[in-house]
Amino acid sequence: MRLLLVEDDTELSRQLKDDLVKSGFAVDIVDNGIDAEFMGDEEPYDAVILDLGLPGRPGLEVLKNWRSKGNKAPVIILTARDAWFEKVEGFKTGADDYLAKPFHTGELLARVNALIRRSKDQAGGPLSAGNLILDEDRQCVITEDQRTIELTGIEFRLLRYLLLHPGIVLSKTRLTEHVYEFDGDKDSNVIEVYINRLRQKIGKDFIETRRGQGYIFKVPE
Amino acid sequence: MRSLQTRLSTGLIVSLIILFSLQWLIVSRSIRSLTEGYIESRLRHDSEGLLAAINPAKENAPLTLNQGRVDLIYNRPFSGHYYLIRSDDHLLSSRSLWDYDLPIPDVSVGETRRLYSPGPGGQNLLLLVNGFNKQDRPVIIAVAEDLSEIEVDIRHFQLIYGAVSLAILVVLIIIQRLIIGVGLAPLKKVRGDITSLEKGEIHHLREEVPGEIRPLIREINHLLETMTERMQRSRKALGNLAHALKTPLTLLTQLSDREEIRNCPEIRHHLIEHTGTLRNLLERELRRARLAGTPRPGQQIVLETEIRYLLDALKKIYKDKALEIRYSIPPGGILSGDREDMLELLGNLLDNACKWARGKVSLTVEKDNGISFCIEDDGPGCPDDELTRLSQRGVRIDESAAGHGLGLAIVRDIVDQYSGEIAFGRSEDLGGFKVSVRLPAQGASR
Repeated sequence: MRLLLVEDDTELSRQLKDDLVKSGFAVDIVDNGIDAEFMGDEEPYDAVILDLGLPGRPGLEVLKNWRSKGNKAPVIILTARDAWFEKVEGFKTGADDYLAKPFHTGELLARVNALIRRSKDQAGGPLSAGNLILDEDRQCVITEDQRTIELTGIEFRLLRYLLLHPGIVLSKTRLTEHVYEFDGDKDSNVIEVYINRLRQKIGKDFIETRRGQGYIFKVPE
Repeated sequence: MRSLQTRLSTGLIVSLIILFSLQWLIVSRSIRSLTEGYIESRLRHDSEGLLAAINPAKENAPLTLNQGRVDLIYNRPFSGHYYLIRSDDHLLSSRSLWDYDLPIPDVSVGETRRLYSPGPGGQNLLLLVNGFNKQDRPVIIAVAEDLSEIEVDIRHFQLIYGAVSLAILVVLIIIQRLIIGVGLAPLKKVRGDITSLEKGEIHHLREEVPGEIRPLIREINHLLETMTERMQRSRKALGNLAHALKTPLTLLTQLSDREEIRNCPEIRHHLIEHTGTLRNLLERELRRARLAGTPRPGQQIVLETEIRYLLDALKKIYKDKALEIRYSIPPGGILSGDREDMLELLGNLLDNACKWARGKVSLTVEKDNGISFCIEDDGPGCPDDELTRLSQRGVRIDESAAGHGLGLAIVRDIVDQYSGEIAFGRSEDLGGFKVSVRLPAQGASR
C-alpha cells in the first residue's frame, strides 16, 4: 500500500512516516500544497493523508483540484481545525475521512486501513484468503493450524496488496508502484523475486503468473 | 425620552394655539376700537350739531335748543342716544334720557373727555364730554350712545371668528401630523431595516436616508463591518493558534506509543494522562472562544442545506456502521444564527448519537417562534441518575458523562450563549439517548 503524507511539520511527518512504514506502508512525504497536488496526480496512491494548513496551497484547494480532475484517491484529512463547519467543508470538498489533531498513531492506522479497505470494496476484519489469515499488526500470516509464517517488510506489503486485489491481473509495474516509495529501488524484476518467496511461504497456488501481463491472486479451490 | 413625533407635534400645536389666540384677541380688539372710534366721531359731530342748535340767550338765562336741528332719535325715550348740556347751573338733557340721571364730569373749555358710563336700562354708554364756549359762556355738552347692541354684534363676530379659527387650527394640526408622519417616514424605514437586520434578512442598513441620519446609519454599518471583521480575525487567529498548538501536542501524544516509553509504564501513564488533560482543555477552551454567541446581524443559514451536508459528512465518518439517519426539517426553514455555531451544535449532538446508535438516529427540527432540535438514537442511552445529573445547570458535563463528554459540554455552552434550553432523556421511539434543544427567536429576545 502506498501512501502520500502531506504534512508541513517535518518532525511530525518524519515520526508518522516511521510508524506507517513499520506498519507496512510505502510512504511519500510532501510538505507543501503545490508538490502535494502534483504528486497526487502523478502517482497511484492507495490513500492520501492530507493536512489542511499547508504552505503554498491550502489543503482544501489541493483536494478540490484533485477531485475536479477526477482523481479519486481516498483522502483522509488530518488537521488541527476540527470545528464541525470545517469538517463539513472538508467532506463537501471530497474528503473520505477526517482526523483531528492531536491523535494517536494507532487511530490513524486504523482509519487508513479502514479507508483503504473501503476503497477496495473490502469488508472490515482481518484480510484472509482461503485458510490463511494476514495478521496486519504482527505482519505475518497465520495458517489454519495456528502456525505463524513470518514475512519481511516488502513481502508483507506485497501480500497485503494482493489480498486487497483478488482476481485482478496485477502488472509488475503496478505492484512496484504500490509497494515502493517514490524514491525507492524500482527494479520490477525484484518483484519476481518477492513473488517467488511468497509462493514458497504460503503455497504456490495462490499466485498465478500471466506471462507478459503480470500476476493474479486467487484462492485455490 | 419622548419620541420625536410627540415633541414636534406638541411644539407645533402649542405654537399654533398661541398664534391663533393672539390673532383672535388682536382682531377682536381692533374691531372694537374701530367701532368705538367711528361712534366717537359721530358723537363729536352730534355735539357740534348740538352746540350749533343752542339758541342764543342772555347771560344766566336758561338754555334752549332749536329742536328742529336736533336729531329725532334724541327724543325717543331710552333710544340709546342721549345728550346733556350744562352751562353754569343750567342743565339741558335729551328727552330720550327721560328721568335718568347721567352724571357728567366737569371739563374746562376746549377739553374733551371720553368715558364709559352705565346708562338707563342696563345700557352701556360711551360718553363724550366736550367743553365749549358759546357767546362767552362755558357750555359742557355730553353726548352718549349705547354700546350694548354693538357689543352684541362684536361678541357675535368674535364667536364666529373664534369658531372659524378653531376649525382652521384643527385642520392645520391634522396637516401637521401628516407632514410629521411623512417627514419621519425615513426613520420608520430605518427601524424596519434594523428589525430585518436582527433577523438576519439583510447584511447592512440602506444608506438612502435623509442627510440628518445618514452619518448615524453609516456609523452603524461601519460598526457592523468592524464587528464581522474582528470576529473573523479572532476566529482565524484561534484557528492558527490551535494549529500551532496541536501539532506539538500530537507529537507528545505519540511519544507514548514509542517503544522506549512503553517500557516505562509509569512514565507512559503520566504522559498519556497529562497530554489528555491538555488536549481536553485546549479543545474545550478553543471551541468556547470560537463561539459567536448571539448571531451577527445579516447571518442566516438555510437549515435544510446545512443539515444535509452535515449528514453527508456523518455518513462518511460512520461509513463502517450501517446507520439509518432519519430527519424531518420544515421546508424552507431559515434560521438566523451563526452558521458555525449551529453546525457545531448539531454536529456534536448528531456525532454523539451516531457514535452510540446501534443503527438508527433521528433528527427532528421544529420551527415555531424560535427553533427546536430533537436528536434521538437507539443506543444504550444514559442511566436515569446520570440523566438528572446532566440536566442540572452548571454541571460540568465533561466530568460527568463518560463518552458523551466534550461534545455535550460544548453543546451546553452554545445553548447557554443563545439563551436556549437543553434537556436530556430517553427516546420513546428509538429507546436510546435523547437530547432536546430549544433556541429562542433571535431579535425577539432583546
